[in-house]
Amino acid sequence: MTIEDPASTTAPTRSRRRPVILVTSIVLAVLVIAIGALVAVNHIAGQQKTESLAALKEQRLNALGDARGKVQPAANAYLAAYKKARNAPASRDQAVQDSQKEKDEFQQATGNARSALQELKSVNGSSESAVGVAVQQLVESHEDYFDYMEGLVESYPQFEGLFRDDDAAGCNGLFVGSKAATLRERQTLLAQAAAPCRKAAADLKDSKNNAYVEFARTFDNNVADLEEHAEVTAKGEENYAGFVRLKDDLVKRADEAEARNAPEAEVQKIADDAKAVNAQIRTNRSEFDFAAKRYLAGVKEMPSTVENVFATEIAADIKHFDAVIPAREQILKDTIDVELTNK
Amino acid sequence: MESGRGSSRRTGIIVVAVVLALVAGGFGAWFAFLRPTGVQRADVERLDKQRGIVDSSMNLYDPLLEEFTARYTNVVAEEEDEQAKEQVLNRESDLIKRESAANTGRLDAMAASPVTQEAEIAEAFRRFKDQYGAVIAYNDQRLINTANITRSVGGPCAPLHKDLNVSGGNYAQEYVTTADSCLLALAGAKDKADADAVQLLGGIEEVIKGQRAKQQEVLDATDDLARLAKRTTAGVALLEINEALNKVRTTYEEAVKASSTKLVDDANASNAELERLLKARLATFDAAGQEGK
Repeated sequence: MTIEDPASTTAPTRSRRRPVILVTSIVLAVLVIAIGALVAVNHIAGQQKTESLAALKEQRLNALGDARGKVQPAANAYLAAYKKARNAPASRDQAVQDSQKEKDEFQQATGNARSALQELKSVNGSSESAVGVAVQQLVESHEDYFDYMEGLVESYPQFEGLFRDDDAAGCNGLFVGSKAATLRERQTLLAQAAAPCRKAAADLKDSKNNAYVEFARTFDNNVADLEEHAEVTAKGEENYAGFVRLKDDLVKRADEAEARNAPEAEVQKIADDAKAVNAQIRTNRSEFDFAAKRYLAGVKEMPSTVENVFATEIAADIKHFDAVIPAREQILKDTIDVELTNK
Repeated sequence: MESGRGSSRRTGIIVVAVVLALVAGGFGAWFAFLRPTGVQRADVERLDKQRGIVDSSMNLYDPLLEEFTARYTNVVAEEEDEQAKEQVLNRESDLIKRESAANTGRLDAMAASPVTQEAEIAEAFRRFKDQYGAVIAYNDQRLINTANITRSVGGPCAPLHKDLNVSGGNYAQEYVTTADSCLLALAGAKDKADADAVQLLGGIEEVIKGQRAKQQEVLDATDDLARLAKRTTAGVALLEINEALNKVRTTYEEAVKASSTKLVDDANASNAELERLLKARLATFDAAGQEGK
């Protein structure tokens, strides 16, 4: 405890208090400025977000829709141009050249559509928000669609050439029925045609377009089945010659046995052998019929398997995209509306 | 002189401090104004729009599941490579799982709205959430059922009625062997499948088991005549197999249709009720707005 001298303490107290006030006011000022800045930034960011969401809904989605709408006509134009060139007739390489303009235009169209999609993607980075999720879903559906259409165009020459005479695939060599004198010959000719044809089908399995891929799987199996059935029928025909020999032999044995009045046991033996041969013939016959029927059915079904790719499968896939993509677009628009409400 | 200058500076500082405090207070008040408490009209509008989004999102399940079925059926029927099958299964089912996750997220976002806390809305929203949650769960289950049925019926069971030569010498043996792997696949397919699908798989199982037993009798017959007789009986029974299988399938399709129709109807009813209440709630804001004027 010290006794303070009132006169001597006033001045130091004031000078000690002054910095405290100064520091307090500076802190207060900084705080106010910080809050002000925060509010302003927040406000501006909010406004920017609102603007960018509105732009996303109004402009980018429409731009994407427009760009997307050009993809399918461009693909159709390319397919038609390529086919026309090929029918001219022209080789695959020549047709690729002759349809280059349409291919470029298609690539231009998908390029534009993909960059419109990229634009849209860049607007909303976060995949956590409702808008982010809707954008993500829309983007995926579009990417699937663009991949599909690119696959459709890129693998078309492969698919289209499968049954052409001048194509390396040479699958029309599979239709050998009338060219072969024997079933073994048919099997040999078929095996020769099947090798490059199945190779081409295997290549088609790598396409970006699942309609081609699924066709290639089915087709490859169908050709494998044909080969198997051709082998069974060829073998059956060959076996038949053997059966004729066996039968002649048996008849001779029976005649001979009868001529010399052979013992009962020997006659029985011949009868048993004849039964065994008959059973073999029946089995052979049954396998032959089964394989022959399957072979014919397989050849008969082949054209419709090919036709169905465009007539059924691709039509169904495009219908799928036509159902999903507009729904995703609408959901994104509505989700943006939710965000924009109250702003 | 010295003291006077000091006191005027101090006054100045105090004035500045007071002004700053007032400005800060003003900001505070502005904040308070910006974030009013209680349910706003915009909250109700938002919830109503979110409701519409959830409802229309459900329409995507059908095309997505059709797509899944088409892709998976082809690869199961035509591809031997297990890895390729897995790849298609994973890719396509992942798509539907993420669809469901997004839809569940949308329902959760709705639950976070203050509007759903209001007494008159809460109950209707709870029903809406339950019903649409049930639709989502149902479609997740559809994915599993379809995958399991495709994998078994379209897989190891397919050769039974497609590739075997009925008049062939070793048909009975081939049938028994193929039926065994088919039955194994059918039993496995029941895992995680729902009651309807289990009933379908069980029904097919019964039919195949019956056929297998008849073919086994052919194999077990000791003399030719007995074998021929058994073979004839089995052959006749085979003629009825398609009818039996069709009956099982029809029963399943009817059960699926009935349960999905009920789910969709319930969901639509809960949607209509929630929509009605939200529109009514919006009307209260309009009425309050009129009074204000």
